[in-house]
Amino acid sequence: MAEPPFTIRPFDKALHDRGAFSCGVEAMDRWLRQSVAAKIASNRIRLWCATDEGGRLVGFYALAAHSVEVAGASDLAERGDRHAIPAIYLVALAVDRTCQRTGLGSALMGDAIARSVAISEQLGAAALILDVLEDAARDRRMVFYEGLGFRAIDPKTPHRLFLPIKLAAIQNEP
Amino acid sequence: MIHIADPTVQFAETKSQRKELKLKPSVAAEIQAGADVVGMDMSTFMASAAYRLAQEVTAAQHRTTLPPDAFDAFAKAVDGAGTANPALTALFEKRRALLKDG
Repeated sequence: MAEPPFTIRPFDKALHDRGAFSCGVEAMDRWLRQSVAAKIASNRIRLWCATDEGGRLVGFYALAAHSVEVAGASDLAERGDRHAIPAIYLVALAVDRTCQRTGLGSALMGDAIARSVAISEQLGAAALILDVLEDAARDRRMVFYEGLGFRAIDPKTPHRLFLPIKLAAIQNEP
Repeated sequence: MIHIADPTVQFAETKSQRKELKLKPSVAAEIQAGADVVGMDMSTFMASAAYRLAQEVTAAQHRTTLPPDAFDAFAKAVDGAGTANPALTALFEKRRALLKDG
């Protein structure tokens, strides 16, 4: 079997040059350049970066701790036994223009799901949650995510999807 | 008169950060109209609205709040038994083919 062409590892300022990264979504590129370092330093997110054989940053995804709660959670009568459910949030996932349509995006998604399963085995998390970007490719993305088993967490917020960790965990991964 | 609270009044700080921005005339007019409705100056109205939105999006990254029926459906879904999904299996195979740990 051929050696995988891309390497995935936690973000390292010294290794990952964010300046040259361009996925075609300006907001995503700006987020990567301007926001991630502070978020990582304050332990709000973790960023995983893929590099090609030359060490160039060609893709990434970020995960954060998340909680699903019932509205009116401070009202005992309303809440009942509905306690907050721990989850993992996929903050972002993007592939550089030069590596789009190579399967790297799917591979990163697979890595994010497998890592979420591994995290859930360490501290408990019941779902992986993400927001589908509302742009021209939204419908295509939605078909992709729904095919993997994601579904809307609330009919009123159809862009926010979740995948039960149990569903991912039975695919013989990580 | 419609009243909205300014969430930034909680900070006992001097307004020392100057921000300049260019707006499309129609956008500026609509913002001014909204500020007029609640009796705020435009600067306070914009800072208040932006601060509120910043808090919402930051919270949304770390928390999902659901009405009881949606929460119950979510809890049932994550507690239910999963079934094999060929698309997910293919995704993991793609991961193994393209990515190695550094």
